[in-house]
Amino acid sequence: MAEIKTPVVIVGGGPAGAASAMFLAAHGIKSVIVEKERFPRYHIGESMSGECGAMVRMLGLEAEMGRHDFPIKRGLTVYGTKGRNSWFVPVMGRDDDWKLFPQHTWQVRRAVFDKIMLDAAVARGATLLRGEAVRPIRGDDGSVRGVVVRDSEGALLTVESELVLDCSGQATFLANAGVTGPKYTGNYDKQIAIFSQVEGAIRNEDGPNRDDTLIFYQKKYHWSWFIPIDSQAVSVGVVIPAAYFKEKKETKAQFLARELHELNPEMKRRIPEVKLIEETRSIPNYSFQVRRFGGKGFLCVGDSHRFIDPIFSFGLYVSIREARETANAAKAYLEGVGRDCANPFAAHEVQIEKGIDILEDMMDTFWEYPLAFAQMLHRVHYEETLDIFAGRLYERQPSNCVKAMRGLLKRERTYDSDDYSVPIGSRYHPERANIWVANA
Amino acid sequence: MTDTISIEEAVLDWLREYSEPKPASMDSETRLLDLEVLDSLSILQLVGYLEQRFDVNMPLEEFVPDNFATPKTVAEMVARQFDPAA
Repeated sequence: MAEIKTPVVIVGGGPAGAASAMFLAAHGIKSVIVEKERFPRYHIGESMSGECGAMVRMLGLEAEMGRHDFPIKRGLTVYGTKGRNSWFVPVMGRDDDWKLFPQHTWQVRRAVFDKIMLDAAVARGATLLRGEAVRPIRGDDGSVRGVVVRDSEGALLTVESELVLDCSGQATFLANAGVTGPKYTGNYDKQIAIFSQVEGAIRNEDGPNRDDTLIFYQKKYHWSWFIPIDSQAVSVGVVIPAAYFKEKKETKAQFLARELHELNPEMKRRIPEVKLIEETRSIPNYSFQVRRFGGKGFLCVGDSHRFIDPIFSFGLYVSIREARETANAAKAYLEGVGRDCANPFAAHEVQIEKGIDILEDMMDTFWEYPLAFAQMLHRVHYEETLDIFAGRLYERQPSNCVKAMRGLLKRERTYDSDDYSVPIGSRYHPERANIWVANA
Repeated sequence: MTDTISIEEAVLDWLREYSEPKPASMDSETRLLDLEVLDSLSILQLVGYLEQRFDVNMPLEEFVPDNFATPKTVAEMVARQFDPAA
């Protein structure tokens, strides 16, 4: 078998992988990115939080973003049942004195954005290997020593590494290979997302908020998104219990077209004629959490170890932000830190889970206690709620807002023993999380 | 000592002035959520008014639909804040 040797091999060339490679390159560390698809390729997850935009600027890509037709996002409007009421969450940054200031971020056609990221990673010295990671290579001590890749011609080659970064997204490469701990269902496990793109949709009126994200909900766990992704196309998706979709007995496209008109009158007003310009796709069982996602020779980044729910557009942010932390942890590991530990990435994992736990607490509060959520956002914890929406999950956390959410949820989060961030599980099994099963 | 009846009157006065739509008549048992007299935004406004009027702070745990079912339940919620043991 042909062999490649590299300090770091990155499985997956999406934003988590490309960002990991770029942050590693900034530390002077070379990587090989294994990506099976030819870019540009379609992907879902099109809206950035405020701090995601900040990450993109930190990567030095703001000028490149400006050269493309990416809509500017200055906020999120949520329309309640019947479209009568709405509330607005502005995108706000924090300055060096921790004062809020209006900020903007981007909506992106992922095919274009992901190619920008991957091209930038390669330009900064990462090697792109077109192929599919087939299995991890394990040493006698159980450590991960690299991956076996099937290249675009079907030939197998080994990529030996000191560290494998799993950036494979929903495919959860290392979890599937049994390298990590168990993959549990997440709290939104029984939901399904069905999505496409439309043209001719009516956005907000011309002005700074024209291309903001809109969320419409009909009732608990039944909502849709409206995200302009360039000057012509708007990404639309419906998220509902999978059982509801099944009982309708419609094709995905039929279901989506009907729901776009029935879910909320304000959404119907904005999409008077449903002109789908993209294949209608779905992702079931998107909610999960992998325990022990780091260890000797491996670390998962982004969706490959945890995804909660798309409602507040955190996914792209979590992936890129986590990539930055991962590169720091990887640098320490490659310098020899923690090599004697059973899990050299234990502290990193706790940090990452702490941040995502805050997002989970906010999403759960939104659904379980919508009135209290409204009171927190509009009255008693305005700034701290905005911080969570933006993605400021590490500084001054847990805030009073997060503590208030945990009080409502009767949820305690402690991180000093091995059972931190216990997977909460599907809302149908509140007392424990089941093991995730495909198409459950 | 503020009794529940006078809190109810304050609630009804506020609703008569600010709620949209306004039913032709309202009393302590009017189904505020069922009839859509109140929605999430006007609930926040009503609570803001009652907090100021009666000098209480409404804890987040009280922001549940049951408390806003009728003017009576709203008044009982406010009255509870005078006597947290209740």
